[in-house]
Amino acid sequence: MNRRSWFGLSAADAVIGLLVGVLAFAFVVQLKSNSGDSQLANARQDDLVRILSDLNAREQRLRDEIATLEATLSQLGEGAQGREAALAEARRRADELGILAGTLGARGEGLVIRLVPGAEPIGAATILEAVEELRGAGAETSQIAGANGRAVRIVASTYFADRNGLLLVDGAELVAPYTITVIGPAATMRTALTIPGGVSDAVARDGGTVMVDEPGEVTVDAIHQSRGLQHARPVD
Amino acid sequence: MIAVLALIAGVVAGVLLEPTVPLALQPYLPIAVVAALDAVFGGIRAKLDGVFDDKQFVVSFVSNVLVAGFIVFLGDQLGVGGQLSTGVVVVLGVRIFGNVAAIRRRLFRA
Amino acid sequence: MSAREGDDLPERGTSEQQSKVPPDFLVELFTNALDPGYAEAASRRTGRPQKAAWVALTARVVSLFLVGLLLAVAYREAVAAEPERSEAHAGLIDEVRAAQARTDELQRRSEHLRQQVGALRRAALGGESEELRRIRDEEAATGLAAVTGSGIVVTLTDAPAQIDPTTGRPSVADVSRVLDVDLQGIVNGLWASGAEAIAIDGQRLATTSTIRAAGSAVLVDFRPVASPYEVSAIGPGDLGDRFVGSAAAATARGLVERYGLGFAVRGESGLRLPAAAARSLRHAHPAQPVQPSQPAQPTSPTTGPPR
Repeated sequence: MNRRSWFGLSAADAVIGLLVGVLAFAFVVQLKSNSGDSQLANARQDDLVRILSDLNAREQRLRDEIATLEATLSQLGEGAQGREAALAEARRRADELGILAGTLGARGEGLVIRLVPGAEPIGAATILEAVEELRGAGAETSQIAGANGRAVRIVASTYFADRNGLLLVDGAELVAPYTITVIGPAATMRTALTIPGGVSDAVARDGGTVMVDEPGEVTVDAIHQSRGLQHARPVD
Repeated sequence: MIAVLALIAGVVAGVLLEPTVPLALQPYLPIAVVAALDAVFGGIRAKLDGVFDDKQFVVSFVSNVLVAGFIVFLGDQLGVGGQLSTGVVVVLGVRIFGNVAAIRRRLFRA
Repeated sequence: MSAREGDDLPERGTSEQQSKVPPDFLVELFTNALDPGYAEAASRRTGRPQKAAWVALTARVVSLFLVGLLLAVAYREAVAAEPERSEAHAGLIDEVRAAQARTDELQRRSEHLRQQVGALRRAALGGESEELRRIRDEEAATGLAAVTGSGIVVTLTDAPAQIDPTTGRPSVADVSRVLDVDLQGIVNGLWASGAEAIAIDGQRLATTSTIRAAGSAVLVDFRPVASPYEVSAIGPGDLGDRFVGSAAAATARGLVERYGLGFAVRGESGLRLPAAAARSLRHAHPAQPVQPSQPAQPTSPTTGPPR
């Protein structure tokens, strides 16, 4: 069928090429949509609702942060006042980092949580779950103390292990019952601890109890002695 | 012509009357549709070939639907419902394609 | 090939007719889709006067009407009755995606503003770099600054997907997926083995970082991460050996045996872990400085891997 040809291509060739191109395009699109989508598409309704509410809360927090940052930005821009403001801002930032790193004590709204074991000791896995739930609920800094008077500040690198029926936190042995003091949105954190299947249930299953107290303002003053980074170097 | 009108009347009736399908029959609905389509396309091709017979059409329609449904039902009881359903759909699909291809050849000489 | 089963049946009518049972079913199916019944009926018809035309017509009309009815009903059942639940589901997914896009955008803006503030701060303070140095070091230590170094990468993968027979789609049973608790355990083990910085699939872990599961998705700091989960850790040279010998690794190996998850550890140099998304503290304020002379104050011991 060579009735008319442009550059040696007949109309039929052009149509064939076009159709093959469309096929390839559709194939690739289908592949991508199949692989990328599966996470959310398989999520249950309740999980989606939860993700959505978490995202909305985060969005609200981000908007507040942006407002604060913009205010700081305008303050910093102005001459001598700017220098003062810059110093104050630097100090504030250093304080924030100190609290996060555990090198500074902190106070604020939060909870005091007592974990009392029953017949079985409370395992490190349960404590880890509690800490993760609190983080998920917005905890900003926390510490865990044992009945033997030792208290450990919980930071990013804090690890939990079991040893001889005792809880090992960053290498320190703690004796039950444990007290977790955490600063953050009290109501949200309380809810996170008591959801069905959560920490309260896990502890209750082993015969223990979880007591949550909301004194209005709590103090986290255990200090984390950091050795500084010895193997990881900041990238400039 | 009357045939086409009858088909359209059936579709309209289905849309307007909204008959409720008993729960037990619901899973067999798709296979019944495919079987019915096979009978319809077979009838169209027979018509174009000049060998259409009403009795044959009715019988093929009814028996297709019933046999297909029965095979799938049997498969469900035996635990191979999904596979048998696939098999039935494959066979019916092949027949539909064959008939449609013949119809196309007739209509478009292409 | 297959035996010719039709040979035993008596031939009907003329020799052009096919036998009732085609000898090679599949070949017949593919080449001759038309019911042989039509051809037979046609040949029969040529020899006899037709029956009352209206009987035939009625039969045709009725059966086509039924076909139309069947099509409409099936369509309604299949498409329209797809429960509103699934429409709501799709709507929710869209909302979640939109919210994720919005928060990502806000996060970018927040980071950008933070950088501007940092730049202005540095410019305004100039020589007073003491505070700045403190800031930078603490940022690095808390995961809020990018770091580089050598370490190990631990890879966890979901069990391979089985094809679900009814839907034809690959699916992984919930229990064979990597759960958030699995990742938390690995991370815990890495810290215990001396890691100094950890990131999961490029998401750095800081003090306030969260590892949560929502359905089948794992979210680190609200960003979804997928299998294979690569947990990168920078630490001392023996990090790999200590981790492999740790309880967390033993637990992971148990998961491999019971549920078919994938677990692998490899050394890697020149790892570059990005900074975690920064966030400001809204509830915590610095407490009064602790007086070093008060022995009653609880202090935590020097941290480090257990000896």
